[in-house]
Amino acid sequence: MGEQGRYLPECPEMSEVVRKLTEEYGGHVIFSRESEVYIEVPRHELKDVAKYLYSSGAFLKTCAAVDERPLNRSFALYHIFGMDSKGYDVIVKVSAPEDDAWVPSTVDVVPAADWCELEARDMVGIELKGRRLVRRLVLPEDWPEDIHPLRKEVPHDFRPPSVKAESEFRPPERGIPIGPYHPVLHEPEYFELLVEGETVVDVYYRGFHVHRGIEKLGESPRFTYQKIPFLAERICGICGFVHSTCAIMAMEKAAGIRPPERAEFIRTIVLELERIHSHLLWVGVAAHVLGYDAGFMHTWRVREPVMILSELITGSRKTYGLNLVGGVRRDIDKDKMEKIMKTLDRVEKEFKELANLLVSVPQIRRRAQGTGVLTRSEARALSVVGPVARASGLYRDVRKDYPYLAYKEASFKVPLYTEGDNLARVLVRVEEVFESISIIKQLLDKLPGGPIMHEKCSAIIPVDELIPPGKYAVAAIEAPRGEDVHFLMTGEGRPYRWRVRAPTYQNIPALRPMLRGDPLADAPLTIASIDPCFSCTDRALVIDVRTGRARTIKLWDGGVGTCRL
Amino acid sequence: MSIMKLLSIAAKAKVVTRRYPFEPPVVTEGFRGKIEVDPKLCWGCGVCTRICPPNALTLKKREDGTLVLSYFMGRCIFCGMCAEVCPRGAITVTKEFELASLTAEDLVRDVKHDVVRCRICGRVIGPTVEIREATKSVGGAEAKYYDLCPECRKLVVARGIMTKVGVRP
Amino acid sequence: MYLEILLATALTVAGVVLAPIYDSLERKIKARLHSRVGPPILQTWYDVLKLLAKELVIPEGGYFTAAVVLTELFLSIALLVSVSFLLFFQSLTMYVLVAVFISALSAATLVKSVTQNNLFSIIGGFREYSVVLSAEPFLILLVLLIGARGVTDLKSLIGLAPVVLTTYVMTARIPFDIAEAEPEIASGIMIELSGPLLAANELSLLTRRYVMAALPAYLFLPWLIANPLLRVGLGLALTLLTWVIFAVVAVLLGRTRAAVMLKGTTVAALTLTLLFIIVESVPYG
Ligand code: SF4
Ligand code: SF4
Repeated sequence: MGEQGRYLPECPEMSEVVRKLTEEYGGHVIFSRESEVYIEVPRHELKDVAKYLYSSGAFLKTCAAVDERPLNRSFALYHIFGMDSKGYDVIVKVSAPEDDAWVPSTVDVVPAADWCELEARDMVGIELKGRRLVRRLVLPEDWPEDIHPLRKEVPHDFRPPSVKAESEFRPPERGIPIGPYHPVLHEPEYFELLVEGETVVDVYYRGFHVHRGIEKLGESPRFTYQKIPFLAERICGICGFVHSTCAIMAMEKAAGIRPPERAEFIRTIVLELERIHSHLLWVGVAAHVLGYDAGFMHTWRVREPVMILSELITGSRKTYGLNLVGGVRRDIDKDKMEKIMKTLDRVEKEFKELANLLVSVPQIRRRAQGTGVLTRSEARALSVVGPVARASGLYRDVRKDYPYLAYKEASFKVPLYTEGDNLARVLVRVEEVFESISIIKQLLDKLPGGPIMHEKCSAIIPVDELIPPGKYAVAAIEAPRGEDVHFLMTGEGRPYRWRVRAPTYQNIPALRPMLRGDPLADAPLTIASIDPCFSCTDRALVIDVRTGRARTIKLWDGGVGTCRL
Repeated sequence: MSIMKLLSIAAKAKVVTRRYPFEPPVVTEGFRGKIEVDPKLCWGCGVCTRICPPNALTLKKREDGTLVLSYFMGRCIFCGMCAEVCPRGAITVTKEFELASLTAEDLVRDVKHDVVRCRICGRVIGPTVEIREATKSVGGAEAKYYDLCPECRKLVVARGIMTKVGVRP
Repeated sequence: MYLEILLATALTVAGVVLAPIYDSLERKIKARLHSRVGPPILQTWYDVLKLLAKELVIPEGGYFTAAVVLTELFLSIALLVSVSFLLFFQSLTMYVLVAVFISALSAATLVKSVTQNNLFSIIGGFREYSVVLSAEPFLILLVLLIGARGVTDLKSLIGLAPVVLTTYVMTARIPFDIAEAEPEIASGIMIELSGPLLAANELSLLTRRYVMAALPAYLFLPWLIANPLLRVGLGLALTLLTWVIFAVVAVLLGRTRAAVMLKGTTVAALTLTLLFIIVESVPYG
């Protein structure tokens, strides 16, 4: 599959990595592109390979399990390692024959692989060898044992009968439930805090209540490449454009086309607009959590013009519907440019004033400082992303590490703090708002002329022929919450496998070290401080809404899926 | 005290919320609301139904022999793709978004199309307007076969030729 | 004498009626500082009436909670009555009565929170306990001191500072609303209440807020103003003023944390109370 061995090393260190993987670990290159190399290694080498890569500076972006039985009678697991400092992805594939479906677990050496391994087990049914704690992560307790929704024989609209879960897992002590419905969680998700007095001593987490089966849907005959951007946009209600752009970038890579420059600029501008409104929304919510509603209301007041602007440019306040494979649907004309400039000036001025006010409120400062601390080494081990990483002294930003779209054209700085506390996460986001404003202004100044749609594409021409089957692509975007990754394996007219890894997926496991030892009063702030987006995280698979409804979620009834973070 | 700055910020900002629904909503000129299909322009070709991401537009064959282009606002994501692809320009994107209703039927707009049936075998060939217009543009001899399905048309033509040549079919 | 009784009764009724209106006013002020339109001036009354019209759901934990909620309402009105009479009758007994009702009301709130069979309510209860502990002893002490000694001259007005501080804390406004703290413990002490019970709870909270807004004025006015009618007028006006000031302060601040608050408030209240005692005990001239 793919262009065998057509790997042209650009930087010497990368060729060293490839050499090592192929020569010392018996791997072979199955596909490559300018910034990605796909190497299949024998499965017994996986742990060593992962250890080698993780210790030589790679972050784990995620892993994706694929049911490749129709192609080659085996299951596959792709670990996507990002060499941030080189701007290079190394995708390590291991196969497991269908009658002996296991892969070695890498959690011991790559703690960040915890969730995606469990997801592979739930969704595709690959067993994990050498893992101490194996439990359900995504599937609900009443899901039948032997049905793995991402296997190809399971239809996308399949609804299994609900079965009574046999083993019941209960947390040993009685904790304080936060969720599934709680004022501070705007989506259903369940945390259980074990406290001594007002101090949190441990945390249990159970998520994936809002799993909508989007990945499976994208592979189903219901969808085509032309329609997927609209589906991807609905993964998240706040950073939808990130997902649609990311999915499209993967498809464009697979098709081997590049949208016109002007389209890339427009996408970048809208992405940054999205970051501004997302961060403003978050700052407001943080103020609300701390009881400072004036901060909440005024941040949202300042945010509103950005929403109106988005509507003017794209047609909608959210879920813009702007993106198509090959370009964008709407241009930014002179008049809109002026309006953008004017709005941004106003937002900049007003938010500056407001941000100063916010950090001067004694309760905000006192409660955000020193709480929810995530150390740099914990952040590194879990490969956390976005503002959470940058507040813990981890310099990670896809916009800098893997420059995409028009980010090379703008100069901006990446705010970095080392304290790792809630205040640092507030400040990173506040500063990023100003950076985003400056990025948009720079790009508008430089906006090149020309078409906004690739000549081979349009709304009317089905792009499906442009994307040949059997291609791989990994695309990543710096979403407001951090790195968003889409992994694509193309099929006939639609994805063979489409894996979405939202930023929050990577950051939730970091909540455990953050919450432990902190006052209960600050736990909601800490949970909010990663800016969790649960629908994003839960995006994929479970087709079924019905079992979820039939099952009563009792607060103490953890079931099989409840897990220790 | 710097926390007092709130007072000046609030004074400058004044009141920004509105007494909606007692005041008209603010919608920019770029806004996309529900769509409207012009029954006079629509041919019932179904191109829009194939592009619609959530299947809000569907083409259904009714028992009574009519073809219905059905628009269900409950599913519509207001992307406007249908308007972009419609070859007839029959779809307009409006700015209307206040669509709440007590019944699901209120959210459905149907455009009915009569269909042409093959005068020999009775099979549905396609929507009347589309076929009429298409025939008009082709014109000539083809026009008299507009109400025949491709199979029957072949037969009729073949029979005509045979008769002309003098072979008995 | 009859006039005074009449006036005190009128003040009590006014308090019950005005408390929800002042609350709406507070919401309006808050809204204005948030750049929002805000609710109409009778909104809180509408809310209470609406809640009263809902079905009665007895919370988990039985009828006891319901009984305590009603007791709390009764006690808050009793407190309002005693405070209203304070404006005209300055016997020490009156002051003791006020102190007893303040303390009984807090006790009822605590009992209410622990009778609900809900973790959040219990956490709220503990938090309420810390709030009460940091302010109530001082407020009671101040009430009794003023009752015992009277306000002899203007320098006694220094006592206003600890009174205003402690009454503010007792209103459970931000930053001291930690017992309720909606984003943290989902309304804590009120989590199990709904419908008419919530309405009763709301009314008793608002009545308590009214009393706390009135106390600073009612404690000092009788000693300074002789004319009873003028006292009533000034009392009403100052109550409104205090309420408005409290409302603005609440908008300017965020919510505190239990541990931080207990220390800070206690120290401040203690210092101010001591200052008052020292100033009071310095002989005249
Ligand atoms: S609206 Fe346009 S695209 Fe849709 S059926 Fe009618 S003519 Fe065809
Ligand atoms: S606007 Fe979009 S979703 Fe709505 S009918 Fe048209 S294509 Fe379908």
